[in-house]
Amino acid sequence: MSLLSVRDLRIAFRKTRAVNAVSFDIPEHSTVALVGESGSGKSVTALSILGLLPPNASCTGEILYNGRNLLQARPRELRALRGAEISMIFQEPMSSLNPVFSVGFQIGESLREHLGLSRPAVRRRTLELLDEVGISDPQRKIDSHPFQLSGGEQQRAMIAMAIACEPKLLIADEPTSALDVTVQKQILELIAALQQRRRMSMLFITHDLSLVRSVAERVIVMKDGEIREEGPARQVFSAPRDAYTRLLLDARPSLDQRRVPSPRAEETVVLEARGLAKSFDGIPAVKGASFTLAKGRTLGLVGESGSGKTTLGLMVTRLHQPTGGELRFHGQDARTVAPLAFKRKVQIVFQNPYASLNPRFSIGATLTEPMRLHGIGADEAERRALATELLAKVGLSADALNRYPHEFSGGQRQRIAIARALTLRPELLICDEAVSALDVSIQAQLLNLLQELQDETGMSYLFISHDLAVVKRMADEVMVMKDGEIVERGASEEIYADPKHPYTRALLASVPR
Amino acid sequence: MSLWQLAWRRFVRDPVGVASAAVVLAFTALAAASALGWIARDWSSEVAVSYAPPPFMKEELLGEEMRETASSAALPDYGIQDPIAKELAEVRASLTEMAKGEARAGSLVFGADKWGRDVLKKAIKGTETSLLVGFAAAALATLLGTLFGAFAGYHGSWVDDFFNWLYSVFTSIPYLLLVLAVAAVLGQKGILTVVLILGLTGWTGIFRLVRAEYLKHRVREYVLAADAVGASNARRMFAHILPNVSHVVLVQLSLHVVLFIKSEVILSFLGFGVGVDTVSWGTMLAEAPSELILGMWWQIAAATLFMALAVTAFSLFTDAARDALDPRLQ
Repeated sequence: MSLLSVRDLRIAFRKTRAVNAVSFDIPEHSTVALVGESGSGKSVTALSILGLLPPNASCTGEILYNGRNLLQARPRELRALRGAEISMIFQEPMSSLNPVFSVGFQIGESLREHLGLSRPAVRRRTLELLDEVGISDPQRKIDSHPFQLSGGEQQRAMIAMAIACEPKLLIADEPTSALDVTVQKQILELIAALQQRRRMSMLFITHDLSLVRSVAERVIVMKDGEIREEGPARQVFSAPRDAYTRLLLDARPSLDQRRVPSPRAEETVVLEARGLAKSFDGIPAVKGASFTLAKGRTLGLVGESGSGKTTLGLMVTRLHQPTGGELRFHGQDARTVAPLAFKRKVQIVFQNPYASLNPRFSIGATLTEPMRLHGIGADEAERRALATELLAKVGLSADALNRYPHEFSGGQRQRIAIARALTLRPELLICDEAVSALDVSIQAQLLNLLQELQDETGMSYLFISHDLAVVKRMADEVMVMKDGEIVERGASEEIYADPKHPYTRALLASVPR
Repeated sequence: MSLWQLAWRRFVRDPVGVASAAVVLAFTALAAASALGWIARDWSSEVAVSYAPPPFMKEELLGEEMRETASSAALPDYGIQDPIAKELAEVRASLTEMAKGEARAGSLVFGADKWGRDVLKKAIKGTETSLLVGFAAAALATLLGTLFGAFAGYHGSWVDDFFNWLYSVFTSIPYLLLVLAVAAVLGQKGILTVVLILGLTGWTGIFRLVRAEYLKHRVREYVLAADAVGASNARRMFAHILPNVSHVVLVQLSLHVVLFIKSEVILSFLGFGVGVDTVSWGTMLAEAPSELILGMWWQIAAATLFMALAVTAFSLFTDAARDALDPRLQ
């Protein structure tokens, strides 16, 4: 018998339809994964179960929990269910925890609210929970505030909060997406173990199909508010019936994939760093990085958040001034090159396509500005012609020139950002997590585009990412960074086949396969 | 479609916003027409009898006045001869001669003041003064606040420290005391003085907001990207960031117009505002206390009505503009 069954669920915001005729069941004691890219309606579906949709959403259909229709339940009945019978884990542990209360207080809240336990009992129970979710030294951590915990510990605390009242159904909405890959794996294992031990049902929502392979019994694939495929996990992974599911499975670069290495015809060294270092107020962010990058080659830079990889990228573009070491560009000390001339040769593409374009500038203005600043093109008409050419090169049509960033999707915006970097015909392009914010299918397209552009222009890439599979797909050489230091460096093939440093090994072991 | 066009679309969908914008426009047109001398040019001419009432008050007041004249005629002189009686008679005769040319009205739509000036025309002329002061002072304060805030927020370090120090000095003195101090220093009265007083003291709130916006925006990726393609500091500050914080600046401008209209009224009421040769809602209100004792309520009514309408419409317009411009509310 199923614990929760959703029948013909339709959700609309004003006139836009977010979820269209969705039906599925969650059996008791089992995990169902809901997979989809951004805008597929997966999170909205989850929020509707707990009645947490914003008031401008209209919702029809049935959500039956133990035979009761939750869509018709009164607010008070829903409040009694939330946290006690059905609870939820959110994506961002940092913003889901209240910063002014201690972790113990927040976990105890639902115990007091739903079970009415006494204060000593609440504290005893909270300590047990912290221990159960694998937080070390619970006696001390119970009185800590969220900012005193690491990202992984915060997510563990959120999980403790969610399971405090022994819910029958746990909804996990992208519970590991905001975490580093090594932490991601631990949290995933914890959630799976808790589900088994407590015999809960779980609805696991994610954009990453490869994550659910190890946790889910059933998989539902959603796109544009509709279910595209539903079935037992083994069948969905081994014999996907829907074309979109196959695309999701294939689009994700895997560690088994091999890259065609760039030709090694000429070995002109474009960039050389010797002991490059940067500290902020005496706290070192990058401690002496040394590497070389040859023409037409790609150097991958892998690291988790806080490893200093972005700082290193910004130093190479000279957007940050290094506090130590030396940067040589074509053998010349970069400090002796005029800033404007240097910027013309070294360009950067940032992570967030929603933040890196000026929202008040039309695409035409965004693309012609660098040309105007560097005196490329005789007049405005010629610059616009060049901009149109570049847009065609990144796969956008000329009518984009008069439009504004908000009219484009994330993937299209990232193409525009790449076109902007190309306006100056740089020799070195730094891609700082350039595809990390995008859905996997879009990610694959952009990686192909970057590869084509490199083959065509012979640019060198410094490819920064936390995603080992993406780096493997792109890079000839790989550097692994941890706590501001490059712990391992070598040819891509060697590092992935035979990692020397224990940290590299840990990283590779955490990648979901 | 640009963000401005989208904001405009949102604005015209809001009926309260559109209605209040119409009232604001009407007031601005009234003030402009008065400034160009098309209407209310002769506001200072004495066209009616002293304290001429509005038409519907005429009957009951005229009765009172007749009784007054009757009693004053019977004043005894106790047999003492008036030494200047002859001269006085001459003056009276010449005055009546002059008065024959201009017939003074017994009543006016909004009544008349002590000197028989038309209250409606005074209120229209006052609209010109008050709006001029409000707009000019708000423009000055917004300019200062935006410039200071942009430099402080963008450059940080000692530039920020300096402007923060200036901000602390200005905000540590009670507002009215500061205004009166500046008024005392500037000495002379007049519209320009009031604009300077309000503009030089009123930039602090705008500074704080604009500085915070610049602090937020200068580390955004689009600004970093502009730096990466070689845009100069000035270009990043004013071509890239300013359009993105302009909604804050515009809303503050509008908010300060309201604030300064009210401040001008307060200043003029206290006698630190515009000079005696100028009329504003504040000077009209300043005349009101003595009139109210005599039961002449129409001047305060006219000034209050105009001011309440203008300020309410402007506040509603500001709210609607904020809703339309704020990118977070989309």
